[in-house]
This record gives sequence, structure tokens and C-alpha cells, in this order.
Amino acid sequence: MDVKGLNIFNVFKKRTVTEKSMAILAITLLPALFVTNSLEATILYLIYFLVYLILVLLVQMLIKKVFPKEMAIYASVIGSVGVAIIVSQFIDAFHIGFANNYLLYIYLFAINLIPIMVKEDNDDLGKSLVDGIQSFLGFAVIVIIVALIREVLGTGSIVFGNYTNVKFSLKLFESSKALLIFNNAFSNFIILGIVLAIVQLVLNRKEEVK
Amino acid sequence: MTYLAIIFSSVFISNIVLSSLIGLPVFDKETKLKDLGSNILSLLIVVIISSMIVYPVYDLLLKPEGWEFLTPLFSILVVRNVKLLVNLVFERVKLPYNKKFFGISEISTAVIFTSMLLLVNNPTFLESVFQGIGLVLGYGLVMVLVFTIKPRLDLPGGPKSFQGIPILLVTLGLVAMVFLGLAGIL
Repeated sequence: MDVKGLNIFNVFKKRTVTEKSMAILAITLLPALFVTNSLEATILYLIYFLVYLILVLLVQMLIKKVFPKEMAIYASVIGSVGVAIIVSQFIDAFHIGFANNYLLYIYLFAINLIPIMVKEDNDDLGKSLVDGIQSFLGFAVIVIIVALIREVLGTGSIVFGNYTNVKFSLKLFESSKALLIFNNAFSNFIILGIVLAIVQLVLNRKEEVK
Repeated sequence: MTYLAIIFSSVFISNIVLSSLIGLPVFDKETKLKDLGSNILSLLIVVIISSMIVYPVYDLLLKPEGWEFLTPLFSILVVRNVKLLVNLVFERVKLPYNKKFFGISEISTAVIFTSMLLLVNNPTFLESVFQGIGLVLGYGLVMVLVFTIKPRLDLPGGPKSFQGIPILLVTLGLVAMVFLGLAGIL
């Protein structure tokens, strides 16, 4: 798959933003945004995604060294899905409520494009781990922004305690004044569209200044 | 009537792109409607064959033995192999098989993989096959929608920062809102 040099999640690396890289950004982000119903679920999702990312990068490197090139494609697919299953089993053991609601999206870690892009951009393990964590930071920032907007505007408060033992509640305005549209999954398209427009605006300004 | 309701629901109400947010269709400028048609046809064949393999194995082996966690692994193996087979057939009959839009073949794999994970939850075999067909038709519908809307969105006049993917996402959000309104029909 031709995704080399298209990872714009890594803000520490200079990359030109093209329509293709923006498309890949959106494709990678959208399944993750389904979980952004609440900030708590989003943080849990991101923690498990980081675990998955580190494990899958290690597995991919191992596959690259052990398997011949023709078999490596199949082995890496099985490796990605296998790691996603292992992570889902951990979630099932520690956060059963989260697993019940979002199990499908945990399995869909396996089709996330970040590990594929990191693998294509880097050859050795150390570099790919650093690139992976840096890309994760960019990914996490966008997902948390969308989660914050959705939870605050959709419910009028930030509540923790549905999936973890951390009990916290912050009421920002009356729930009767909340915009219920943001509780639906399709609101992610609109919020992500606006967030990406802001990203594009900032990047265009930077290029104009140069 | 039940099967019609399943297809309608999978196409409009639980649309795989607009409701589950999986497989955003993106195209390059050289893409033609013919390519889309053959892509949807190949996806449809892959989903039908895969669901015919995945559902019985899940229902008769994985579920009774308590090995449901192996469903994704089994599904991806079946999907990958069936896709290879269908691509070979498409190559033989000289159809523009499985064109990689933007060079990304993973989008269609993601759609079929997700369809497999969704349809194993159906109570009967036929319902799962029809849900698979509905999910692919829904994906095809969004593909055609994006294909027809995108050139109009790229016309000059809109804010520069919104050009490209951002305006497409906002438009898809509005389309999804309209589709949600159809939920009352069922």
C-alpha cells in the first residue's frame, strides 16, 4: 500500500499537506471518533490504542525479520488482528462496560492506518517506535478535542465514572440547553470537518509566512 | 418483508459509513463511475461469499465452544482470501477489478471486515447474508454520493481552509442527518 510519507499525525516531522494525506488523516480518525461520546471513554480508548500501537510495531518488526517477503503481508495482517484480539481480552477483563459498548471499535484497531504508515516510513525498531508515539500524540490531540466538544455541547457537563473508578463531575451549563445533535455519531463528521479546516488554515498561514 | 427491512435498515439507518464511521470513500480525479460500479460489484460478491463461510463457522463452532474472540481473526483470513479469488476472476473477465482509489486498498477491506463482525450477531444465516448485502449497498450509495458531490464542492468560491476533505466531511454529516430522519419508516 502506498502511504509512504503521508503521515501528518506526527507534528514533529515536516510534511507537506496534500489532499491525499488529509484523506488518510480523516480515514484513520473516523472510526476512533465513534468512541468520543464521553471524554472518559475516549481516554480509555487512547490508552488501549497506545498499548496496541507499541505491541503491533514490535510484532511488525519481528515479522519483517523472520518471514520472507511473500509471507510477510499475510503474517502482518494476522499479527495486527491478533494483537487487537489480545488488547480486547484485556479490556474485557479490566473494563467490561467499555468492552460491551465498544468491542467492535477495539477490533478495528487492526485496520488503523497509523502502524502501516509508521512501518512504511521507518526501517528500524527504535525509529518506528518514536515515530509511532509521536504520531499517536497528534492522533490523541484531535480525538480529545472532538470528545471535549461533543461531551460539553452535547450534555453540558463532563462526567467520569461510567467505565472506571475515577468519580468526577463538572457541570458547565444546564442539560436542557445542551445541543442533543452532538450525541449522535454523525456529528463527528461536522466537528472533524471544522477541526481539519482549522488545521488547514494554520498550515496555509505558516506556508504563506514562509 | 423482514429481509427487505434488513436491507433498508443497513443501507439507510445503520449505514456503515454514516452511522458506524467506517470506510470514508475518497477518490482521485481520474476515477470514473464505471470503476465505482465494478468496485461495488466486487465488494458485494466478496461479502456474500465471506458471510456464507463466516456465519456458519461462527454459529456452529466458535459460539458453542466459547471462542467468539477468534471471530475477527477468522473473518480477516476469509475476507483476504475471498478477495484474492474475486480479484482473479475479475482479472479473467477483464473488469477493472478492485481499483485502489488513492492507492488505498485497505478501505474496502475495512468495510468487509466490519460487515463480517456486524453480521455474525444476526439470529439466522439468511438475515446475516442480507445484512451483508445491505451494508455493501449502503457503502456503494455513499460512494456514488461522494463521487457526484465532490466535483461541486471543489468549485471555487468557498473558504480556502475548507477546500478538499473538510467540506466533504461537513457535507457527509448533513447527509447522515437526512438519512437518520428515515429511521421512522421502519
